[in-house]
Amino acid sequence: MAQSTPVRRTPKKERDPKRIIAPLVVLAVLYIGLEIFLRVFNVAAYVMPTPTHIIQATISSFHIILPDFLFTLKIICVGFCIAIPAGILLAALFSQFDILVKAMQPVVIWLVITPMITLIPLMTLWLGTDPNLRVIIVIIQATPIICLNTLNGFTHVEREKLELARSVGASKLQTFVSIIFMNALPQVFTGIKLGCIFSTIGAVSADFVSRGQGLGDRIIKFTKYSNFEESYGCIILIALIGITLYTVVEMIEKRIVLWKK
Amino acid sequence: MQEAKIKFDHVTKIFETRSQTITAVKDYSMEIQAGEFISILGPSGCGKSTLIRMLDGIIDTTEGDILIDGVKVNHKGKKMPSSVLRKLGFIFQQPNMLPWYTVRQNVALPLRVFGLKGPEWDNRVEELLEMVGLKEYADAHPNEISGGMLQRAGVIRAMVHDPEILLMDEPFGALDEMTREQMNMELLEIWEKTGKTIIFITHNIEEAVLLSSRVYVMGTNPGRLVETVTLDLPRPRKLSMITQKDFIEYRQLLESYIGEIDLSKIK
Amino acid sequence: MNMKKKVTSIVAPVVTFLLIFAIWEFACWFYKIDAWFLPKPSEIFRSMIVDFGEYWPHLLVTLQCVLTGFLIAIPVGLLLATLITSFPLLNAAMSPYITFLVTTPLVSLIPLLMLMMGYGMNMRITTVVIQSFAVINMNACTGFNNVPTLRRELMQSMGASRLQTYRMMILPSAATDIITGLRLAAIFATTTCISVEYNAGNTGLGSQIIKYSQYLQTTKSFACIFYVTVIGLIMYGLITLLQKKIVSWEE
Repeated sequence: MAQSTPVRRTPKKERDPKRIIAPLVVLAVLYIGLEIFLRVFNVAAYVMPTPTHIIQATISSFHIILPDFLFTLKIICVGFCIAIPAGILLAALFSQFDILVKAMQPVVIWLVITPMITLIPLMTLWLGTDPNLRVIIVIIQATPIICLNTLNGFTHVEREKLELARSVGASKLQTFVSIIFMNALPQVFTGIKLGCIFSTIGAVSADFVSRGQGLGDRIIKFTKYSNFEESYGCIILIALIGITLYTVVEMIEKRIVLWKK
Repeated sequence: MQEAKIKFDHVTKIFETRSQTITAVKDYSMEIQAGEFISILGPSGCGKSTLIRMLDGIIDTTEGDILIDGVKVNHKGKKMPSSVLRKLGFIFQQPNMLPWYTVRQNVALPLRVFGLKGPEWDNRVEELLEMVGLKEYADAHPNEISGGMLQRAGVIRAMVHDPEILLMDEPFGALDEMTREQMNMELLEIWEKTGKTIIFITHNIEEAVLLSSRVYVMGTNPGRLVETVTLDLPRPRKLSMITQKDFIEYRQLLESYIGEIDLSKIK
Repeated sequence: MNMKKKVTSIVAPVVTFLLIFAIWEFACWFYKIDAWFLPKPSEIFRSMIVDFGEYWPHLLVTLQCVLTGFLIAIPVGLLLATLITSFPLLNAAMSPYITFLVTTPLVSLIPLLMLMMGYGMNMRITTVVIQSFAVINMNACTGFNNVPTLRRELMQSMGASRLQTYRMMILPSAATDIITGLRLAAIFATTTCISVEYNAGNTGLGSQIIKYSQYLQTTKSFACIFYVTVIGLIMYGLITLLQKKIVSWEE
């Protein structure tokens, strides 16, 4: 019987040098453009300091920033690393029973649409002022979104695949690990990537409210004393934490989820 | 001599990437007269899809000319003008319906794009829907009807702007055998009624013999014309003919060409 | 059978919510937890209604900020995505920065934006816009870039203009991805708005959560948090409505 063959017209996409060079050009243009623009128009430093000044000031004040940077890095990483298994395990638990999915999904949505950072002020009340407790904020901010996406993946498995598992007599655990979980991996990773974004927002917001430590606190302090160059430096550092985490997750995803383009 | 409706004059298409150069079609020439039904037959990867995509202005040519009614239509880097595209109707391997439009809106899409308005065109849409039995499904969305019906909609979409030439890229390849046979017969009927020029791409030998007056056999690596076979079989063609002696001989002849290609590939 | 399924999918969550609040209520009563530490849900709901006049102006401020910011972010994100994906070179040049914008907690700009623009509505909306347009932009870019080749060829075979191709084919093809982006943007908008209100001025639900918790009026803090949920629900509902309207051909 004749099979339909997909048409291959353009050969497989490869690593295009354009995709590396073009962004670097943008960066260079942005840097030089800003540098010239800000100097020519004499833009006040509190609006936007020149990139060179930002880098210089950040390097010279780095010994002040470093402890806060490490603190925020720790909070985000620890919180994020707890939120991932927490979200996935909760989703795995719910997905075992149809009724639990129906019952819990709206609750998870409730937790997603209500920003958990609203609990920051109360956290201080409940747990005291130890800055390390900000990990909890990161966890509760990131877990629901990871859980929601994972649950979505767990509950949308093609019936054929489940029937295949049953036909070879796979146990419940085997079915879950090798079919349901593998099948849901793309969604799991989407959830984790979103969780990464939620983590950084949670950490910075917690710094803003609870103060005393962290890059968020440092930004407020620098701004208060008109050290705008350093403020921007801190923002860039936070951005770097965010993009690094995201990139790491993406790299792991590419390694694991090979079947996705 | 009568001027060819469609002429490929030493057409070559080369895809280039950084690491490799692929010659999809090499030095291809053919002439098709108005009202002919011809097939292009070949294994996958022989460039037959590339060929009709070049004719329809979807892909640029690298070398050579394509002429319709004696006028060169391929101009590198330039969109094919609407006046040329209006002469062409393209039928894809999949129905390729836009799921947000109803069947009727999908069928009428070329009219919207070409800017053809008026009651005569609206009537044409209805007539075509009627012709392929989709009248009562006209307001359904594509996901609500079967694959066979969708492909029928695909066929009449390509005909709605009344093109002179139909380009068919393995149009029924995604359908089951029985629907496919039925569709082939319907297609022949349409062709006999309207007298359109049809270029039919397929990798199915039987289909090629059953439908067309001439078969162009293509080979791979690089994609090229191997042989042209004129089929001297009576019309109208019928499904029952596939068991007749002439038919079987033509089939075996074409099989031998395709077989040679496969052997050359192994070497 | 189907009817039964429908009923469970409504009854189950209702029961869950009731159960959560019942356990919470019971625990507070049984362990005699002080209201300043953890108020009873019944108290919170009572306060939401009784003290509504107190919350109303702040609810309005937050809702206005979230909605306006969100509504500005949509066209900004979509237009930018359209522009970027229309040119392959621009697409290649900008794609890492689109991710960068999304992964950066732009709430960290709040202190500086406060200095530039004051504590008012403009500054709040600006922050909401920059945090939420990025995710709309990213999802829209994904949608625009993943349009099936066959659909592109269909439009090409008819010689459709750029505008026709965009309107008839690209935009609807990307609709599902765009809606996903909007859903996320709505969450980002609410989160950002609360974060801004923690810092700026004394209006908006965020500022009230802080104020009440400082005065140990935890019941009122919770009432405000629940009103934030109401805003979240409004956003969620709006997008679901939009989804039903726009991508009705799915399912």
